[in-house]
Amino acid sequence: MIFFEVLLSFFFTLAICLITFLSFYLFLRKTWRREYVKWDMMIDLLLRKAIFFHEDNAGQLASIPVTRRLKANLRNKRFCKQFVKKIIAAKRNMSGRHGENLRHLYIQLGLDKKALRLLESRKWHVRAYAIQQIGTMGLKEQLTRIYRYTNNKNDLVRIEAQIAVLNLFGFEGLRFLDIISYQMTEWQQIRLLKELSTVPQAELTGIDKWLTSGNPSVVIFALKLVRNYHRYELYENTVSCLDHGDASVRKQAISTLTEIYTESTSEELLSRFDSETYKNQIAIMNAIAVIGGVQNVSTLLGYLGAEKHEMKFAVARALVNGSAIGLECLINDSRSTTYPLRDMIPQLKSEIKW
Amino acid sequence: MVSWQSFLTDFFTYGLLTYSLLLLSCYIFIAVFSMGEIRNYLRKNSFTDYGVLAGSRQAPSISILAPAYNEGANIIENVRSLLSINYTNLEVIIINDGSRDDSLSKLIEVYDLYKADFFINGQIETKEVKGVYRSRKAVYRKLIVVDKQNGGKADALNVGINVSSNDYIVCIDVDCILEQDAILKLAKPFLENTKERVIATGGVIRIANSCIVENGRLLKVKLPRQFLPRVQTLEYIRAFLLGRMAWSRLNGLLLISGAFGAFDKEIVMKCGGYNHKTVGEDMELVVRMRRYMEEQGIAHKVSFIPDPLCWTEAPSTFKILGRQRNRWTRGTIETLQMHKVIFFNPKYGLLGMISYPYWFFFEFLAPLVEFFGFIAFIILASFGLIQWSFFLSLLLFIFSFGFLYSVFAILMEVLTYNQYKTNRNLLLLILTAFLEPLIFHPFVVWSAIKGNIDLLRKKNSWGEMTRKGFTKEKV
Repeated sequence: MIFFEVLLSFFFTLAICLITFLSFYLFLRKTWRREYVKWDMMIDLLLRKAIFFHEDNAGQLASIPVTRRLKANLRNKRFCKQFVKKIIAAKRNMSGRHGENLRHLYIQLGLDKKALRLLESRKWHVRAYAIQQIGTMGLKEQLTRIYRYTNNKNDLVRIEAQIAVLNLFGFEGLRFLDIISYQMTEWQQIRLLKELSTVPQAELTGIDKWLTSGNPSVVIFALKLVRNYHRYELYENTVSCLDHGDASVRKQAISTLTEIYTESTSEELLSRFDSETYKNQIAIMNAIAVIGGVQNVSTLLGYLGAEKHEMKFAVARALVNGSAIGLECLINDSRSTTYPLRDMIPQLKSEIKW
Repeated sequence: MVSWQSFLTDFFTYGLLTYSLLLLSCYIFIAVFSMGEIRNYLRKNSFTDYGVLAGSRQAPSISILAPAYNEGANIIENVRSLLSINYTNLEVIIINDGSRDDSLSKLIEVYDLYKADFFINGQIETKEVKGVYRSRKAVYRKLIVVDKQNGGKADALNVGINVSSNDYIVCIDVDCILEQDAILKLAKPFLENTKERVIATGGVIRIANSCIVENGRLLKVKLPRQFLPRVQTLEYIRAFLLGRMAWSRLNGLLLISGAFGAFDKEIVMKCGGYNHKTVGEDMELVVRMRRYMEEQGIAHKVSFIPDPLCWTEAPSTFKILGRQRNRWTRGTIETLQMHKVIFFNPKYGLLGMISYPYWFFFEFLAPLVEFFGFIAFIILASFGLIQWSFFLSLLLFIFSFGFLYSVFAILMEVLTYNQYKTNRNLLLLILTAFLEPLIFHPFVVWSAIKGNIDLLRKKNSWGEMTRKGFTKEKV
């Protein structure tokens, strides 16, 4: 009984404490929100001033006038956080002189030094935040400090460091691919490719080396670079990836070849069909359906005997799209009048029409 | 010598006390454990730009499967809402599960559909497909409408799986309202892991009653005005924000809500798709997928994200709510029965040693223990074998913990997503938390008992779910 009563009182007291905390937090948040609105205007004004700031006569970028109040506010953690957030967002959307002005303001206010201090934090999200600032604000002189994070054990720190290096040095920044030992996730690769798409096109070297990397995810990423940037000169290197030990690398190689194919690509793919995994066999058939150029139709006709309908359909599609006489051969095949080929052919015909 | 009366009394008192303390400890563990997971997610999320994924050619290809049965009243708006999702590699498959209303004819007319030549790879056995429709308009090229014989939700989803051509499937209730970035958020976990294969992802479902909805889009979030939907709002916050996040951190999730979840199609196919012999097909599929992965020795994960991604209408009458909870109970028991080999089987690792036993003892048994324990205590107290004051103290103790747990969930909601912003709403939620154990909880327990009885009677119907429709904005 006493045990229950003690626990009961404890639970109710705790619930009341939580409700009190909740009310206090809501009150605080309301106050903060009012402050944020006020600060927002102040920050916007300064950022606008900075963006349209002109150099002095000597061509040197003079100090951007900053009010004493704003400087004092920067000592407030929440204000500082809001300021950094806004200046980073603005810098991302600005290039040229306007972007340079924002960078100048960032350094003038000593925020770069603050970011460097944050870089030493033990908390991963604080470090990632600092790296993001350094990359976006273009603090190239900090390369050595953030470069070591490109192979950090924390995935978020790692990806932010890699993105920052790309922001600072463009394609050249990709040299971290030489050293990374962790596997790159699909998400990481998508982010890097997106970041690269905003970098001015330049000579991209080193892909051949990455195609032979011991880290399979680096090879996959390199294959994506070959595909996205149509690096035809790396065709042979890509074909050699078809014999890689990792099935996902081979699958990416098949996909890449659909963008840089030659007359012999279909035959190259078909020659490896039997030794491939089921998933990659489907990928090969899908690739052939895109690139065509099948010389030996009878090989494909042979694969129509596959057990699974999914494979049969992929082969039939490859046949129809991969060869000029494919559809005719398919229709003339003895199996075309029976299920499932009988049901597949109308769809394949309609796809051609479409 | 101990008399049989005192043995009985001690058995019930100490047995029930031990069970209650164990259950409460689990809840405390879940609450504490979920906090870290939510904090980590929010921190990571602050670095995420989902726009990167929306237009990327490298984004995973996704098929949305939406079964529809007699949804003629809202089907056009619902499909429009799905088609407006910003995602490149997407197809939207609407499966008309033998509707008796004008759903199909409406779709054909509005979306300019024609019956297409379409080969269906019937890897999963289903009821007969009458036709596959596509649009003549290029703007609706992502849309596929499948007309089939009525066979229930699981059968309809299986048809969708057979028709889909993409790598991942997202199964949703056609009348659910998705957040604009819901698919992007659901797709991301599949791309993030290199050590474990992510086989399914789920997101938070929220209650849309009283919210303002226009053209299939959620315009304004409001706390439900009626008590029943409001108490379910609280229940969902507790279940999703605390429960599922903790289980996700443990990698022991057994359930991705049938209203909205994404799955790796390859694994779904290998497992044979949805099981139409149970009314809990959503849970059953996840358990079967996990079991398959364990048996194959493949490291895997069922992921869960705390963002509110999908809004649905909750039952607003006791009659409909009772049917829903009855079905949920039957679904849980059927799933546990089908996979009983997992129970405390070390071969299945965490699944067998923690997740399954938890569901067995604290999801399936909890209402039974609560119901029969309550009756037993009343009998014992009536015969003077225990004191009424003891019984009351025990009840108050459970009540106070339930209230504390709900308040903690409300606090977590405010600290994270804060969907119900005003002080009035929070006050209402706290009041609801106070009333829940008195009104809502006993009804849910009673529905679960009825579910057990219906299962013994071999009743396997879904029970009709009538919906009132969402609130539209006043012009």
